[in-house]
Amino acid sequence: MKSGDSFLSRRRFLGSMVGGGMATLGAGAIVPLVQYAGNLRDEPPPDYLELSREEFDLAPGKAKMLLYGQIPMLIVRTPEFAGELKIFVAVCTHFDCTVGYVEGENRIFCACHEGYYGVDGEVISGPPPRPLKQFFQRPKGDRLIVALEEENLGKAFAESAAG
Amino acid sequence: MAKRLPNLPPDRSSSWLGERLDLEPLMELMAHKMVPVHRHSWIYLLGGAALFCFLLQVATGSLLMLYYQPTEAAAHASVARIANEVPYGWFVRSMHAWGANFFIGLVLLHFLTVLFTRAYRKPRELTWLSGMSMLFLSLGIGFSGYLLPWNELSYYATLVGTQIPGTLPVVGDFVVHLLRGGAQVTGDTITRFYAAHVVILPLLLGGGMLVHLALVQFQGMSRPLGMGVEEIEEERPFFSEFAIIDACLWCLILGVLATLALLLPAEIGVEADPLKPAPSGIEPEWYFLFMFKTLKHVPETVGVLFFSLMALFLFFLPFFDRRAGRGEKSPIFTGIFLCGLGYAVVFELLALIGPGMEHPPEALTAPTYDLAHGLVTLVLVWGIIGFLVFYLWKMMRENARVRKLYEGG
Repeated sequence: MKSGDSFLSRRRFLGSMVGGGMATLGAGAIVPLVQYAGNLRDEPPPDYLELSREEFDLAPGKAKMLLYGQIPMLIVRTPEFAGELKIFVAVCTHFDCTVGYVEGENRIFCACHEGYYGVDGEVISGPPPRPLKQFFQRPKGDRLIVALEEENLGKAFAESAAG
Repeated sequence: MAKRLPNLPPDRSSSWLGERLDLEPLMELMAHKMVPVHRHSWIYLLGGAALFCFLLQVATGSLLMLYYQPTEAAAHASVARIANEVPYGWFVRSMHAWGANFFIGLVLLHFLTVLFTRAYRKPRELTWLSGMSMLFLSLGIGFSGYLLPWNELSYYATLVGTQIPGTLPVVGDFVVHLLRGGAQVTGDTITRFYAAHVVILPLLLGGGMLVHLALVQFQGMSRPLGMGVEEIEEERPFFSEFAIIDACLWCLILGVLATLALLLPAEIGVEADPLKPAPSGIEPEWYFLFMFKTLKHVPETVGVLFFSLMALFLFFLPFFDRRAGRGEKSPIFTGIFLCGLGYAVVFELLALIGPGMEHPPEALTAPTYDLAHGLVTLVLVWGIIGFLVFYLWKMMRENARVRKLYEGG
């Protein structure tokens, strides 16, 4: 033992070693904890969905909801004669509430903060910052292929050709 | 420290314990806290009343846990079963629902009185920090509990609420995932909200309470800023006189809650269906309404940034309000508080006068729910509460009389 001074620094050294070790242990625990609690490995939505005629056959001016994986999907047949089929991600771009088609008004409505969209997905009024996202679609015989990404539409045809 | 209280003969239980444990330091600590009596003394009751509501929530919540099932398939049905089939389930659930509103209301009132009387000023910064942490935890408990019945209202409130942090830069997506247990609000969300609601957040809140109460016990009660010593009528010991006044209020709260639970039992609501668009008039709980309404009128990033800054400002308030720390008045901060309060009140009112949600009225079909019997029971309950409060008050007066004799002699 040299002096009181070295005694003090020895205590400090031990303290910082223990403290540092604990901090490292804690930091190491954070990685698995965050991954565990964050559930970051959740299932991606399907590449595409194949709808049968009963599922997408709607009278003009009518709409229905289906699930695309876990994503609600709004299918609208516009009201004019032989109206166009529009398929949206039915999730409001403002704060994620599920939107719905208002039949008489030919508009899409989010009740949470009273946002209105047109049938092309564009924002008409209210707080939504972006237009509704539309699904890509392509008929396949009697059926309809629906996908979030355009390039995935091809996969449906490629897979059925292979199979 | 001089003994302030006469030595009353110890009762059997305390002497039994006293033979085994040295209770003297504990008694000393308990006798140490004094409550200043002045025209605003009622504010010292609010924290205790919130504590009582929390304990009630733990009790009724534990009972609900006997039947509630936190899965997407069973959540709504199990709540309906509690309300309609389990004997007195409707009562336990209604007490829990009303108790939650009272708890948050009292916590907010406590927060406001501490804010305006500047009780957060030096040396009570730590008490304030623990209190603000508990306020946020309480709001979290309210928010997570709201989802559990899995009805339309709770489903959409949770969708919006969990998407709010999504606008934060960098971590936004991760936080939304963390809250929802995935990209969407699903059964996974119910399960983790359940865990948060019944274990994680209440445990943290309980820990915060221990710290908060210990600090209050050691530091004593704060006097409102600017109130002179001459305005204090007397210093009253917390144990037992002020604690008895607390007990009176707790009895009254219990009575009011039971009355509300009987007359306005909690509704079950329509089961949430992710395939149905949000019904119009959708709203979160009243204490989130002003934020919900704000988001309708301002762009989302502005709104979320504003709320985050507001929360941070309030959390670290004692370190900003330096004048109050020196015991001087700080009118600028009073102005800020009044503006904030005015904003919250105006937006709450805007939301409340707006059209509410249209849904068919619900009648409880529980065989144990009988309004006539309930009213008779209620009269009995209030009779007992009146009796208790009367004698508690007498007891408080008697203790004060003995104390004054002792002090005078």
